[in-house]
Amino acid sequence: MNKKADAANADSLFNSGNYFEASIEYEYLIFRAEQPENLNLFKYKKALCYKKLNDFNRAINELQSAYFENPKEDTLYRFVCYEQSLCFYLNGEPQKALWKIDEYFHLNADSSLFFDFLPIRAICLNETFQWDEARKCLLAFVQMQDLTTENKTELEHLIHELYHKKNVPKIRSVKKAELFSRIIPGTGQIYAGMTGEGIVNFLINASILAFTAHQAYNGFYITGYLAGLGFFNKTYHGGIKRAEAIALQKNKELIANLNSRIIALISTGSNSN
Amino acid sequence: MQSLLKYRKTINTGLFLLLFAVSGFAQSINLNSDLMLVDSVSRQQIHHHEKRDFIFKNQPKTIFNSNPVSLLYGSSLYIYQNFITQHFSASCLYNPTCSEFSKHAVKEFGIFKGGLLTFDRLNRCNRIAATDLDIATIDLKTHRFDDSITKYK
Repeated sequence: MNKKADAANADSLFNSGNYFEASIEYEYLIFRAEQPENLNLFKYKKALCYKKLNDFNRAINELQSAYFENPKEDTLYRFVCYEQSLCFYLNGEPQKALWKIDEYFHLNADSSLFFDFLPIRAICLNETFQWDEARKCLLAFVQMQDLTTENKTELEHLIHELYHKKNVPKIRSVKKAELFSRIIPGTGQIYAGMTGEGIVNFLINASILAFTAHQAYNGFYITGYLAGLGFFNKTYHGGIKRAEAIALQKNKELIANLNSRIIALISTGSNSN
Repeated sequence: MQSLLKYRKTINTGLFLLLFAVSGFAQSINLNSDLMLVDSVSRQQIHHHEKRDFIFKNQPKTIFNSNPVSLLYGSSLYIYQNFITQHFSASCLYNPTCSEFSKHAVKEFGIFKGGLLTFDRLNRCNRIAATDLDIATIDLKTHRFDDSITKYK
């Protein structure tokens, strides 16, 4: 009877928003669980606590340790896979999220159960710049929704519009940004979208080189080498690294904007349901 | 009563499942709230290049923060943190970084002691000093050694 009371206590802690305390209670229940079904259930609930606490890495670790002897018949497996893929995405690992979703799709023949996974899959595909796949995924999601034909057509039209060639985010190539900065300092930053910073970087590098040349011209070779080239080494390589970072950041921003629009679209769709 | 005892185990399992259902913790997926979470987390992950504040911002004017030395130090640090540091390839060994540490030190101990602590820190921020640092103090998120101003209080 104690176990039941403990489980109820853990659940009430979770429901009242005390996620950290609930995770400790679930840990205690995991320790005492005798049947594998209960063990997986408590692990799942503990992972939900970590998710609520925005500790996605620990949530993933908790879910990874859940073992299903017969995943095809266990209903909990679906929830565990869903949370795992979501936490992988939230932890900045979209590739692993895709792998988990595909694993679930592969194991289940019933495609009606894929419904909740599809938006997460589309968002992960966006992160990996697979626009066509993401579009197909969202279209399948719309088809599975309980909407009127008019609403479905409208949503499909909006999705096609979102993934139209002219609307798809113009992703900056990190390698190109790095290469541009390597050839002419500052151009990588300009390519990545920070024109002002690129110009400043170019001016800094140019002035240091001019200083080095001036010192060498006047016969101060050691000063030119140490103060000039030493400093140039720092700013030149710093510029390359910065161009890469800006390109990555810009891509993240573009994808986040696209995903926001998709989320808004899905919310509108479910509200009109 | 005897039949109840006979099926005690079954009743117990039933009660156990019922408790879960009553407590409102049935497994379910709330897609909309999860998507909202995705949106807010991805927004947080975008680090806009935020301007770092002037060291004596929003502080009442005193002789310690409005003398020429402090003002010169503050403005150079502001220019360095906002316009120069991103152009360098060097990255600091410690968390907080040397410029941020200096800012905290001067705020806490004043320009003289803060300046000395900054000098000490800058001398320790190199590859030779790195060999003598305690690995247990590495911050797993920033991959830098923890060396905050609280250690010097």
